[in-house]
Amino acid sequence: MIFSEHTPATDHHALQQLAEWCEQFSPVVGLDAPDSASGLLLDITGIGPLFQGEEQLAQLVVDRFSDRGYWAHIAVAGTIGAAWALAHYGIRFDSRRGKPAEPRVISNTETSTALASLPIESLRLSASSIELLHRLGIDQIEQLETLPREGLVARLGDEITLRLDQATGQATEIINAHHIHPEFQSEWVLEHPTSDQAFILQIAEHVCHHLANLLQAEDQGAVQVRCWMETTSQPAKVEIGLFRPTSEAAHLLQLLRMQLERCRLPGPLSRMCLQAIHTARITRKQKQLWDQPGGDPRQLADLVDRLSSRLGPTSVLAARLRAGTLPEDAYALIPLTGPQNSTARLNSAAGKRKPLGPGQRPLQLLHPPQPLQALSVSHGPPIQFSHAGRDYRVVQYWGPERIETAWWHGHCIRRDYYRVECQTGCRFWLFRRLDNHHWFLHGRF
Amino acid sequence: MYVELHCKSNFSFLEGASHADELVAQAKTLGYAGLAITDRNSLAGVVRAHTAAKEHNLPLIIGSEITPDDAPPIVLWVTNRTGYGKLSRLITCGRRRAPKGECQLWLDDLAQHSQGLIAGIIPDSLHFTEPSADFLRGATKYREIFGQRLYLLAELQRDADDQRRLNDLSRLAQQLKIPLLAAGDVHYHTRARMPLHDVLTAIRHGTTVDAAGDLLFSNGERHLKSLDCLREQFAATPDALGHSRDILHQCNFSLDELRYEYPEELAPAGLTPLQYLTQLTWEGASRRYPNGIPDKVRQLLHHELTLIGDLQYEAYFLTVWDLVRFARERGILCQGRGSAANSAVCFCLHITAVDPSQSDLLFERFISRERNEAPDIDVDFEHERREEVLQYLYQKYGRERTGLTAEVISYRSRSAIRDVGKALGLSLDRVDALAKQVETRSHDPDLELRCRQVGIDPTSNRGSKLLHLVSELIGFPRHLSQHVGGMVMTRGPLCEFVPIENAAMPNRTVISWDKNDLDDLGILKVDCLALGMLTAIRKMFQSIRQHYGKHLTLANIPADDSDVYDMICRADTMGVFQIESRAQMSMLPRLRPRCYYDLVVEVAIVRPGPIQGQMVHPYLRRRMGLEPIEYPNEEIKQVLHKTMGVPIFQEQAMKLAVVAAGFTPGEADQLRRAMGAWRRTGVIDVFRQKLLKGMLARGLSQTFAEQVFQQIRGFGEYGFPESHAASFALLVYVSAWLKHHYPAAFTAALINSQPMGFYSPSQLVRDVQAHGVTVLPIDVNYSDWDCRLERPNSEASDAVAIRLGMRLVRGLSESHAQAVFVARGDTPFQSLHDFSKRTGLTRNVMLRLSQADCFSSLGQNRRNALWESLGQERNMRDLPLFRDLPAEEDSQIQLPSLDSVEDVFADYDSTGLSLKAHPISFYRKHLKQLHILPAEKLADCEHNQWVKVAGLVLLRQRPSTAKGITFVTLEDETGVMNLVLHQHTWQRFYSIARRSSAWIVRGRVETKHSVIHVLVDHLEDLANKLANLRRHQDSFEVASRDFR
Repeated sequence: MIFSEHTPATDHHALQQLAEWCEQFSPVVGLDAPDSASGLLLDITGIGPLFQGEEQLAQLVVDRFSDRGYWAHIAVAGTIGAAWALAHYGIRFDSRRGKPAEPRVISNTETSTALASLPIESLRLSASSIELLHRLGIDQIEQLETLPREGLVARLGDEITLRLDQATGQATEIINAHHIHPEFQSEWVLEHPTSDQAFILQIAEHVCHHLANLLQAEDQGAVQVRCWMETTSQPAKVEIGLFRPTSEAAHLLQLLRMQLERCRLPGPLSRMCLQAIHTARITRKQKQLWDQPGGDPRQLADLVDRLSSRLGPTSVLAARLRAGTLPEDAYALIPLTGPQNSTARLNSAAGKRKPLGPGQRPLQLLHPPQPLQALSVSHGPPIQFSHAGRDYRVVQYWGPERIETAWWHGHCIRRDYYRVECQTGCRFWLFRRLDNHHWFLHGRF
Repeated sequence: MYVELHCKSNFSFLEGASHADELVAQAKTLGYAGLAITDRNSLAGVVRAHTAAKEHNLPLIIGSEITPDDAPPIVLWVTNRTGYGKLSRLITCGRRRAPKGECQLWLDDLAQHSQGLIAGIIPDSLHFTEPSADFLRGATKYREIFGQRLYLLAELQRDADDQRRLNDLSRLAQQLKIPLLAAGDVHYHTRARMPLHDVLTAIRHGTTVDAAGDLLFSNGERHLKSLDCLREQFAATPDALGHSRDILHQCNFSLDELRYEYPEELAPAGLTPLQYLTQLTWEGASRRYPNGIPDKVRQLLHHELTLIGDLQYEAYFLTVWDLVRFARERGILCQGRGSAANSAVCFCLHITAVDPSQSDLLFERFISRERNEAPDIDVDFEHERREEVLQYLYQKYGRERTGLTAEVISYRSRSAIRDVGKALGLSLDRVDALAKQVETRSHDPDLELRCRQVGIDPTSNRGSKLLHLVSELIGFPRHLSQHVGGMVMTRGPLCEFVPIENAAMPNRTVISWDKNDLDDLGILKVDCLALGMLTAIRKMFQSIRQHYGKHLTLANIPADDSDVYDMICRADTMGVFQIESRAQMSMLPRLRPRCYYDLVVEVAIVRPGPIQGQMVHPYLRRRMGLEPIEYPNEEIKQVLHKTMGVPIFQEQAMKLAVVAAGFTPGEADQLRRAMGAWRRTGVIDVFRQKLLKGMLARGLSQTFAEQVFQQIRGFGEYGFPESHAASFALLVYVSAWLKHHYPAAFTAALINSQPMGFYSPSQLVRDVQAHGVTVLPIDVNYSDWDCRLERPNSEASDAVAIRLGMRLVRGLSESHAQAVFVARGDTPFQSLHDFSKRTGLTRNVMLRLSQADCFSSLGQNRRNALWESLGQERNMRDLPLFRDLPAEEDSQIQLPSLDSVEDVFADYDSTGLSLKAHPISFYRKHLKQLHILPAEKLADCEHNQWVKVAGLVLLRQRPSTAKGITFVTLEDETGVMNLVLHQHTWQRFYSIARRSSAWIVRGRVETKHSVIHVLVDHLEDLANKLANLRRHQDSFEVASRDFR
């Protein structure tokens, strides 16, 4: 048995997708509540005959859901209220067969009899109304119908009578059709699948232009773009992360091309769909009269995009300062492109670090620190050491600076660092491990 | 020689990583000339440091690190009593201004409180080379304030460029003309505490050590360093080291100088407090003994008054007397307890009601001259009215001079695991699971095992670090809370005595020392505690006076009523003070108390202390004559003869340490505290060695010695002193007497004093019905807010019935109920419409009342009343046009009739009890088919017979002493059943056992000394079995009470 946490948002999203999928059965598909939906509503007025009757349609829906791995409680009735009530409370789970009972289809004349014995919960009432009705001893719809309507309205408001009327058809209710489409998407369907590279690139150009137009209309730029390619065998996809949001077709196409060149399609292409999965607002800047020193930042951004696209996002990195005492961890390398890292990240304040004085850290750090032989007085500074076949004599030193950290990773790192100047004038950063007194070279100034 | 002047203890919460005594001991070992404890904006840890410093003979400087908002942080050291008063006042001022736990100060405050203090500026690490303008401005200000008494601290922590920093600092010192002073910014006593300190830092910032980054210190140098190391670091500026000694010479203040001074207004003009006390005592004595003071008492009084005079405790007795006098004037019931309370003087001052002439067993342990211990009197007041007493104290002595004692909340296993686990970045659910596994209160010796149980490998890197850090963290203070009722009153301003800070409760302040600190300094406090039973007893006295015309007091209840003792021996004690718990009830038939002293023993014996120390069974066997009473020697006999050779009271355990192991009384007391408050294994071990050695040296056996150690260990935390048990036993007797003679008044008062005790109103009502008292339902025409007594047919019989009060209606506020009584007056309501019109209550309130079936005298059953209430317009009375309109002619509608099962469930749902039937009774037929016995039939069962029973779960109780056994009480319509669930049964049926409110149980009957238990083997969810029960099972959730 597998347990996982309930996330209403995911449920809702899945239901939205199912709604879209159900459009194969009916032109009007809706969720039964805008935010906290628990089911789907399909308007099948006049559609029954297309499927040889409503029973068959209902059964078909059950079967198709079952193919997708879902159990469906299906009811067909003249009103939304009645169908909802029956689907939720009128179809038991058949434990003998291990699935819900058969769908129920009732005609308008049968509605009130079918509802009579259902619990009042099936009327989509608020929790407080349900509780009050139970306290009054009203558990089923038929009991509810014996109460005087005026008395009911006077006491409990018109919610109950409205829901009752919606179920029996005395009040009208409509299905709010649901549609989901990614905001920015452009697709091309081929009647005759092709493997022709030149043709595919043409299609790519077309979808890029189309997508760029969509984005420009909304002042948006793509930060993450996905290209779906359905083929006669398996589908393929490529993704492009951008350093700076863009809505330029040429730029998009250039990046897409580089990806397509490296991507081997498993079969002839039948459909290409380009979606901007993450977008950001484009800030327009007036063109500068004079060239800025360092060149146009947009050109730099384009370069970053091209390099990332060509070499892969993990090859184009930015260094960022990190808090913490361990010199090896003083900075981190992070990809420049992709959704969560937009341009802002370059400008973002570096991690909060204790400021160090000038010259306290070397410019070059060795990875990993290199062991070396050194001569020193017991716990004192190094006097002499040899490195890379050369001997150095220490003429001046600063330190020790003690670093003790990272005990939570296992062994505590404990070092005494010295900055030393040698007879040659070179400066080095050395440390002695406090646990075994071995010397290491960790950097050059 | 060097003195560390900047050192935080763990009373700088989540900053310091060592106990004060560890710091002191380490400083001594390193050969320091002295030590200053300077917690951040606090003096909360200084008493512990003071005690440790005296022990190690190390000069201690009192101080504090102060962090003003508009200036650099500064360390202040106290030179004399004035300086101490100023510092204490300064901290008070900053703490009172800020929310609980914080402190807000400005330079101006320092300027006003600088007398008698020496200061050291802490330069920020950023200030090297070029100090900021702010820093320079602050330093100049400080110079104006402190003049020659100001230093600049140089603290080197082996950062990059220490020597350069030292140069910069000494240049800065010259520039500012302030001497440079070496210090260590110490946060822990040895380097080994660095990981713990990192963890504390992560906890403080709500992050993990891994993510804490630069919040952590870059190394472990903030410990007490060796003198060699310091000399090397400060080689360039030897003066800086030397200055620390100069400061030590100037700081001559010791906390011992804080002589406690009693308030002056205790005695009337012209009389010394002792004269006044003597006068009051003899006056009281003649009132207590109108037929002449017995000789024995006279002698006792002379003896005690002399002793009080010699030890100068008269002011303390007068303070307590004054409190009790105030309470009596207000009609607030109270009773004193504690060692000094069991004196003839206290009896005569009406502080206690235990008559010394009746019994001579108790009073041998009055304050002893040799021990010079502070007298201890706790006073219990009615829980609903204790606040009046506290307010009286504030009023009489002024807020300036009165304060509530702090309670130091320390890390226990559970909280330590949570915090350390989070700081180490373990997954939250894992940490949570582990935290739930361990025992709450103390150090869990099986922590490793617990780790394995939840899937943390204790030998892995993380696992072993977790265990180690948790064990170090346990006992660390976490924050200050307010003590339940310890009040301190002083002659001068309290805030010059100890800093005062805000408590969590608005308008409450608390001093920053706890009761052990006050004890250590010999400062007296009075504990004003709240006791629910006193409230209930006062209400019982009241209604007895009203309905039976008898004036009862705690002192005039007839003693030694054998009928009452018979009732107690039957364990018919539901609702009786102390002896109503499940454990007590099962002990009563075995212990068979027949006199007052038996009750004293009974109160003390069913306690975790004696149970853990395994003293209960030996005592029982000896009392039944099954085991001979033997004493290893005469001295021990002296200590234990009252209790048949088994130590039962805390005093006995302490005395044992004295006579059997040669402890001094002072050491015995330290031992008790070491067991209790901090739970530091190291300290306990030292005492254990000493105790065992001492006893072996006196020719006692190893086994006996171990046994005594275990006993003392048990007592340390949960033991009960005889002096307290004696006062409690009186309340036991009084409440039992009332239950026996006035069951109706007894039960009504208990319900009116809820929440208190073990049982819910539903059980109390059932019990009183079983004793033949009629209980009448809640009704808008008859009920008051409280339950009251009623004589149904005044001529027919003398019987008194209980009319349930509206306080039982869930969700009904007292003000709404008042509206009902005001509208009712002397004219009963005629109809629901009439009720609605006259009371003007909202629809919501009407719904609650109808749901609770309060309209039956208006001919409305629950459902009809509900329908009608729904129809009542909210503010009908406010609309003049409608005021005189007759009731709406509502066509009589037919609601489904309410069957009795639903009626009973609705009763439970709305009032927590039903007078109509027991819910289980509806299913008896069905249960019978399942071969389930009713509770009353259990008495006919054989020992070891297998049975099935069913009922509602009243309470689940798992005492920490019971090795995982859970005691459960089940109730059906015929009575209650006592179940015993072993750990493995509990685990096997965990979710039913934990959550279901009604069970079917299969198990074995155990009958011993007329106590019947069912040893549970199998559990089933009754609610599941009976579909209808399931729908209503929420109704019982509140009825069942779970105790741990």
